[in-house]
Amino acid sequence: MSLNERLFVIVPLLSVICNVFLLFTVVSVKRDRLISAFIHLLLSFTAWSTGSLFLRMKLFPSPEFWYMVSITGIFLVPFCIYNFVYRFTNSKGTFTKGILLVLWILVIVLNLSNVFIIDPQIRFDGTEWRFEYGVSPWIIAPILLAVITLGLAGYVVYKNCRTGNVPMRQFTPMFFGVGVMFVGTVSAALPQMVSIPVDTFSCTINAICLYYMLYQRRVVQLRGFTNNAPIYVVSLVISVLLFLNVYDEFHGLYLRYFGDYKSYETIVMAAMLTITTLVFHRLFYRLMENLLLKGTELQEQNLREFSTAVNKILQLDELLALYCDFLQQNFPGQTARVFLMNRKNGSYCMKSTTDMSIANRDAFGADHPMITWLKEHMQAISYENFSKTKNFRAMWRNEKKRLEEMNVNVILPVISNHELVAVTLISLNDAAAKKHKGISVSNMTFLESTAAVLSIALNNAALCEELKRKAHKDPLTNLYNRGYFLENIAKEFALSKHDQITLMIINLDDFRLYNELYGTAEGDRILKRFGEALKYLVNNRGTVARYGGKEFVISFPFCPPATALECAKSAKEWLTKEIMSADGKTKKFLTFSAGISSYPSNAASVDELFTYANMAVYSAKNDGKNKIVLYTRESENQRMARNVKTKRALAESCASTIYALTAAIDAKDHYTFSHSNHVAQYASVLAEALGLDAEHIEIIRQAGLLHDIGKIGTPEAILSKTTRLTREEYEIMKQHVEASISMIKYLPSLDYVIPSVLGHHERWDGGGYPRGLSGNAIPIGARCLCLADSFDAMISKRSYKEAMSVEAAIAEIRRNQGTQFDPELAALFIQLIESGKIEVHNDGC
Amino acid sequence: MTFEEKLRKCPANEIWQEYCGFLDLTLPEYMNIQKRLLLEQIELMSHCELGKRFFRQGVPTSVEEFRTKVPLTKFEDYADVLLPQKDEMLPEKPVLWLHTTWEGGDFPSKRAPYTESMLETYKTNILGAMLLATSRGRNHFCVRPGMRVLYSLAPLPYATGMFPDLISSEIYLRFMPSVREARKMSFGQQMKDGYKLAIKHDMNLFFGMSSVLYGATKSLDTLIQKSGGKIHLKDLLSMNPKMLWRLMAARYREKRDGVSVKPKDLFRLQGFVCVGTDTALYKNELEEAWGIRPLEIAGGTEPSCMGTETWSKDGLVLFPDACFYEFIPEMELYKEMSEPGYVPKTYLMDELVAGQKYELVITVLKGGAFLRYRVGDVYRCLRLRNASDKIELPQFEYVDRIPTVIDIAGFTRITQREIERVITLSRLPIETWFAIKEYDETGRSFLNLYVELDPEDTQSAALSRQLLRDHLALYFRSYDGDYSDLKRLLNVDPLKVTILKRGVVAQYEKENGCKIPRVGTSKESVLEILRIQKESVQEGGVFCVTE
Repeated sequence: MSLNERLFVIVPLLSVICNVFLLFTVVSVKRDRLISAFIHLLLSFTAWSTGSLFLRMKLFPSPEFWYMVSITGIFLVPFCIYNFVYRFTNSKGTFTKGILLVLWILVIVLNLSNVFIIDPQIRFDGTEWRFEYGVSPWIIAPILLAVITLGLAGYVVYKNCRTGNVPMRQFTPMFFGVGVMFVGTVSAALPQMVSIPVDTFSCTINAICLYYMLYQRRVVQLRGFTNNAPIYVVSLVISVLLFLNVYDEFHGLYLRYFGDYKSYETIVMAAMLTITTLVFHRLFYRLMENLLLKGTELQEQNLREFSTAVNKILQLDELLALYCDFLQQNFPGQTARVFLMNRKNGSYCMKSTTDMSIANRDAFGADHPMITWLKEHMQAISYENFSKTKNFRAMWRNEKKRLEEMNVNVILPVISNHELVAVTLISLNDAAAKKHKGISVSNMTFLESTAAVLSIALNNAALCEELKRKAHKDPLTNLYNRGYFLENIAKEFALSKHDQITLMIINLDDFRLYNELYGTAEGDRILKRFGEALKYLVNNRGTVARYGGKEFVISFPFCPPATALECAKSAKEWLTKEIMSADGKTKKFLTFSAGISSYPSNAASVDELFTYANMAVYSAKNDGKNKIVLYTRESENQRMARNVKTKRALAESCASTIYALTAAIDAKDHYTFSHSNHVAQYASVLAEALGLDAEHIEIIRQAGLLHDIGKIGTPEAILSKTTRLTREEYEIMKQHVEASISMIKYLPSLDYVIPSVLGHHERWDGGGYPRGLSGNAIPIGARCLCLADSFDAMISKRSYKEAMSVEAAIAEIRRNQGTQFDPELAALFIQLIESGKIEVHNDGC
Repeated sequence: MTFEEKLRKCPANEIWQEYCGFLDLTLPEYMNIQKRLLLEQIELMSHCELGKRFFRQGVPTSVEEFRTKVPLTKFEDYADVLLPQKDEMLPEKPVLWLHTTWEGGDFPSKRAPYTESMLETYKTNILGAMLLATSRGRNHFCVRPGMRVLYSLAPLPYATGMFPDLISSEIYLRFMPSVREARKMSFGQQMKDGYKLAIKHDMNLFFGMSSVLYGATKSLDTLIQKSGGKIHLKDLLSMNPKMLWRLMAARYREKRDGVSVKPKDLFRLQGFVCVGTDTALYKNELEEAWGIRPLEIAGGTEPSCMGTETWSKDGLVLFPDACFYEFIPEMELYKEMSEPGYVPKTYLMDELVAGQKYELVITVLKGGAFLRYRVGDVYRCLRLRNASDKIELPQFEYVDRIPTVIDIAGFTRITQREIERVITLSRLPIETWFAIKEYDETGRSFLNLYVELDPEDTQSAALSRQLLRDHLALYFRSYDGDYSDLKRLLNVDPLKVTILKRGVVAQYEKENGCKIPRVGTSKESVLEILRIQKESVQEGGVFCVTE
């Protein structure tokens, strides 16, 4: 076979393989009219190439048959191209198309009668086989019809480009392909080109170009190239061709070396053909995958991993961090900024970014034109395209400038339940921006898929946040509850440790009475309204919570007590107005008492903040209620003096009760009576030296008097036991603290001493009882009592021990500094004893 | 990407969407843009000295507050800042100052600052108007680089002069004469050279003042004479063969059929844009003569380019991002004229009534200087939506200047103050007068000054009514530069004097119990005065000279 003959076999063969391969990839795509039109076109190309090839090879049934197949394919091409363009542009009206179809059918029918081409035959000219034919003058008819058909296809393209229905660039591959085919077909008629099969080659190029057109439009995907069927067909054809070419050599070799097994030759050949086909199949598959799908596969793999990872996360911050990492990994050189919707005002605030050097300062209002566009269209858009929308006209200059500064390339919405929950801005870095490097369609699709995955995760996270929010809220007032407030103030305290923080407790006066008078519904209403008012008044200066039934608590991090005071005054005014303006014939009355404490001016810890604020509330209550009291350590303060007076009066009014109780103890344990007096005295001197306010000192004094009254309930045998107490006895002894509290509870006007009494056996290191508190968590009054109580116990003679000397007691206190006793208080206490400021009653020595 | 690159690379619908997409806005969407951009303008204004002047009652936080707290303004309120071009008092630093003459006002000219954002918006909007001028419907337009443009509008620093400068960075258009050459020429010379080049090389786009176009259309022969003089062989040889063919064919048809050559015989315009007063009057004739209906655009020194007609060339749509628009109904306008101190009510775009005439009040957006500014133009709201064009926005027609200003051919704006000044300077024995704008049989507008003469000087003045008219015309020309341009450029002398019998005006006022406004009298009142005059003539002893 000459080279020319070989060319006329190889080129049409490659063309056939290529067309068949494309055909197989397309048939697996979901069929629509456009795909069908493309399949028809591929079939006509295949008929053309196959007919030409088999004609040359003089295959069965006859060259004449294959000639007819080839020429029919050629005649069908113009109409199939028209039909393809018609479907591609989604054109309307079938009249022209119908006419063309009828005319081409007529041409084909006439051609079967050899009206246009006369006497086609294969002849051997002595050197090679040639296909020869004559043409009749009627050939002008199909040529003219082909020109008209292609002209009409061109007109359809022009019309659609002009109206903007289809961008011109989408047709570029077709122009190239049809151009190549036209040149190829025309040049085939030239004498110089007669010996080269350019026509079948050019129609293959055209088929590839049209396939690319469909790929650009996302009608077909490159994934189709990795389908088993087309790869297997191609592998099989190549294997067969290979075997056909090497059959003679192989047959010779087989006979030479395996002549004895001649009967198995067919089986061996079949097996080898199968193996070769499989090897080729694998090779082609890998080749296609690596050439066309490597990037896509990798992206899909990443997306799957991302999807798995985000679905495990319920924390918003973690979720956003993962999302940013994912974007950074898949879009290196681009910066992503994530904006989340703020449900309060509908704005979108920047929450995360792939570039840590960017501060999260940007935000878009709910009426930002970009946001309104995204809400309306719910799809990603490039910034360039967004700038062409009508919404862009509503942009403020600064808004445009900011987006341009960011070099925004793509605006990606995250939609969840038809709601725009987040926006991601993908920005080009400077280098990419300089090159005007945009984002490809496939990457845009990938981004949209990522956003869809994120939206589900965001939805889950939002649900989780919502549940958390509900768990943190008081259902009646919708304010934070006690649990959240305690968690939160610990964080706020840590943050403002180097600055200041103020705590205010607001307790509604006689609220039980209010409920009884006006009903629980009215009570609930006023609580709700008051909560709303507090929230409004505090605004973003602090956190408001409902601390108890009728008690509200507000923290003001980084704010001085004056802020809380001002807020309390406003709240008081509001409450007065609210009560006065309320409906109903009866004039209502409701007030509150508020206590304010602050760090570092008086409290040293969160617990102290609460203690002092509570004490301030008690002070307000005791001072006639409807008061705002700022806790202070100034002893000369008149208010304190007044409160002290009140407390003294109270104590005096209760003195008979106290004495009666202590006398009862005296009857059981005569040490206790004088001991209580001593403890009260020592503790109040210590408190005074500590700088506590007069009111607080008075509370500690009274607590000192009452701290052991629970011993009334302790068996006398234990109290007066001269030997060491057994464990059981000690446990019974320990119960006197709670017994004291139980008794004081029945003296409601003295209930403010409870914290100090309850904690006077607590140890600084947490080893005390009854609650095992440690450090500053132990109320200051209790720490004072603890020192006073221990000191007096040591220097007093008891039934079970002799009195210690003062020096020994001091030494013991010093030894237990930081373990049993507050180290600073203990030092101060020792100093007070040594300086004589505490008058020691060492009865025993 | 420049406009030219977009034309090459982008599909038509994308380009249309970007420049003409505002025509697809619904009225609420339109109002949303208006209100949003107004809030930006308030924000910008609140930080400058000029803004603080108008925000004495506090900075408005909403459109409603803006309309109640900010007073309606006139140029006088800005003159001390704008005439000396005090940049530092403005909301944003301007990149360009435009001028216009204003002989009838307190100041000889007006100036308006333009910020970078305003120029960007102007550019987008004027390109949109250019697309619309060549369009037959949505997404159909015919603009391509290299189009020949005859631009017969006043050069910079007038507002119309901005177009060639701004557009040149976006698309290559062949201006005739070139922008550089035109800058060195007077307006008259620019027009003359432009026509000359157009006849030689053809033209695709035509931007011009309606009155000028109308004049040129009426006397194309003169135009051809002006442009080429007598057609010499040299001129014929220098002509584009296509134009030569058209000219010869037109001349042949002229001789054969006895019809005069029309512009459409010579030019095949793709776009025809006209501006200026009385455009509506000329449109049909211009369409007949040029073979394409002109597209009218609305604008001015203060508001920039603020509106355009669409492909149907039947009503202006105002751009949503050029100015914030408020409208004073005609009735409110007359109420204000009759009750000095009355503050007329304004209405927004979504509160208009079709068929009603309105004075336009604008707030220039994007850092402009004017707040609730009364431009002095009256528009008629043609319709609230255009079903056939599928436009959901109100469309307007430019009616005229406000009644107290007489605009002649878009060149000059004559006010009571100006006429009073001219009469005083002329020392003519005019006792009472009033003026209105009227139109002659060819559709040209002119100022008709109705006067009653002092009886003591009547005899001498009566010697020549022409003298009276010439006298006044002379003073008008010397006092008002724009007025003199009318004569120079359009060969128009727009003054007519009608002398009334002494006491006719007083008689009318007595009968009707109202004073005749000096400028802006209604046509009905004039007819009534002429009736009284006629009756007096019949009674005898009448002295009346009219031209």
